[in-house]
Amino acid sequence: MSNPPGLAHDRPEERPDDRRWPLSLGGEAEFRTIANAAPAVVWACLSSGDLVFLNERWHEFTGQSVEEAHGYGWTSAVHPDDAARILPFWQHCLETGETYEGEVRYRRHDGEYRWHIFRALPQRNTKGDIEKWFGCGVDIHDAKLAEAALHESESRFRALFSSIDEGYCLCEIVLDAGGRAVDYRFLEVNPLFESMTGLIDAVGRTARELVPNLEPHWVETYARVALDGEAFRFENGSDAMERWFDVFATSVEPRGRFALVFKDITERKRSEVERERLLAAEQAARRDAEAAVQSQDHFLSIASHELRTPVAAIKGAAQLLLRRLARDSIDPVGLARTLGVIETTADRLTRLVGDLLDVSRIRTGRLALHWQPLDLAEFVREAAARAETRLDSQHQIILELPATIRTVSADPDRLEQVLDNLLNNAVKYSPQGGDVRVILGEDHAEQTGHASTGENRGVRLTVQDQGIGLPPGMEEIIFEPFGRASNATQNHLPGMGLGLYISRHIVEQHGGRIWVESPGEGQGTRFHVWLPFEPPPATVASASRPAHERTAVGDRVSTGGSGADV
Amino acid sequence: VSQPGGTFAVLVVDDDPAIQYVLAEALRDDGYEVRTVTNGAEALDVLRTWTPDVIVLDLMMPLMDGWTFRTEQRARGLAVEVSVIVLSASRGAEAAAQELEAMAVLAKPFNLIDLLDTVERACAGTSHRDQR
Repeated sequence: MSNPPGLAHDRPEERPDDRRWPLSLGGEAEFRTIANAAPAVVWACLSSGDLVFLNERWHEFTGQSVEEAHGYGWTSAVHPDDAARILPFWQHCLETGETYEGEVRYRRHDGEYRWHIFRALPQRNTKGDIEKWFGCGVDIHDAKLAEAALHESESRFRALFSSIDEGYCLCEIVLDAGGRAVDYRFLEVNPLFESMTGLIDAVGRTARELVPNLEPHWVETYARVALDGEAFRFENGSDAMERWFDVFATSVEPRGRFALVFKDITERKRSEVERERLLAAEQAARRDAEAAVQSQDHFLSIASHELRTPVAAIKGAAQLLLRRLARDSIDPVGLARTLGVIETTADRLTRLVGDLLDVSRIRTGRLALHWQPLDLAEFVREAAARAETRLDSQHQIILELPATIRTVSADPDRLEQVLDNLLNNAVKYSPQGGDVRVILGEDHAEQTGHASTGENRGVRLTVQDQGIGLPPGMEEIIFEPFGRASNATQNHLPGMGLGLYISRHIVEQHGGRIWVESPGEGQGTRFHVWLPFEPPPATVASASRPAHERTAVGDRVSTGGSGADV
Repeated sequence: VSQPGGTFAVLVVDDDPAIQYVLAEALRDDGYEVRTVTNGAEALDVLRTWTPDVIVLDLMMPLMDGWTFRTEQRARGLAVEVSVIVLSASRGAEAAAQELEAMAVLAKPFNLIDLLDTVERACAGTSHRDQR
């Protein structure tokens, strides 16, 4: 057996020198007393391994008699699994003199195996040879079980928080010098934490370090949890993180710590928002539908009033002639006048019906343009001359036209419809009479919204009257279907509110724009029509439906009115 | 042929020139004296110097409508005893007859014979009858 000299001095600084104690052992009796006093199994054997002593505790614990334990008999109390491990090691220690230590299960007298921790040291003579071995074993079974249970619980806990589909983190509140909660630090997070919060390598760092613009309400809430021991469950959104969370927060020992279990509910919140949006859209659609029905009613009531008046005149004129025929009192002059009234009124009726059909065409996208090159100066001159024959003597049309102007692409019939509308309006809304000016010129400043084509070269046609003007805020309403200015309806100036709506549609379909200016009520109005020289191709298609189909009450018109000539 | 118009006079208040023409011609055929105006304001002007036996009144007119005309007429005590026949293309005009203190409301398009009969009945109840 090797006996390396100086073994006892291997780590002299770590071995307190117990020989400094003034102990003088009185022999075997005192050893037995010590051995039996220890709450442990104590044993001694020769360098050969032959057992020479076991204390009372061994016999009490195992129930073995001295005879049964003698020699290697004690090994029958070692758990078979452990015996296969420790007996070769014991043999190894006997040969080398290494400290024999480890853990082993001994069978108790009732058959239960209990874990022991053991340690045995060799005693050497002055030459350094091993004479005996002394060892002891302590029952650590309960502690080991508790440790195992703890380990098991810990690994269960780990498994749980690693595998759940919720985020988990353990945090501690960070206080400032004044003891106020200002932040919180992540101590532990589960794998889902990162993907849910988007916070990478959070452990050891604080929330504000990770999310500098974190909303204060998070810290306030968690401080109440951690410091006051409250538990909370809440839903909360973080704009800074662009997420919504369903959070369960509870305090954990020691004070100042809290644990969070949370779910990312951003998708759910988004779908809630989406549901609310859909609901709002549906309600808006219903309101629109109701408004459309109301607008339809409104339309029918106006349309029937407007249609009844000319029908009444035609019917009355016919009855007048029948009466005269019955009395044989027809004279050619009176007959011609009355037939003239019927003819003019029928024309008016035709225009009314035409407007109604145009509205129907616009609404179904079937108002088609027949394009051709057009000299606008010549066009305006001729159209105004035709219009003048329908106007009364109170109004005079004054033309301000350039000598020459570049041709535009346009539908002359539809454009004349627009000009007629504007002229009729100019007359109708200046019941006190006055000049109606028609001004034509090139205008390249107009922004058409067709910025991509860069096309802003075109012409502007202006129709200006000295009439009742337009109250402020009516500039848009009058272009809407059935839209009429408040001062038009208050004065019962006839009209359905369709002419400008139709005109706007026609102008926009030409790639142009129509708008109105009025200094105010009683100050006259100026309608402008801007048309591009060449409408961008896209315009033809995109303008085939009205830009906005709102309905409103109250506005200006274009139809009928001053056409009848008595 | 009897002339129901006799010495009676009618004021026609209507902004539609074709309606004005038809009413005036038919009433004159029957012997009435007729004046026409195009709104309530003009009617008030005429009534200051001339009192007809019947007023044929449209409701929807520019500058001054039929309702305002009646209110102003009563306020100024202008020809308040004169019978009023309302002619209107508006729905619900019949309901306004009482408010307007009209003896009759005819909806446009009206029957010319009905209107002439109504005018005749209105004149029959006036104090001018004895003068005829």
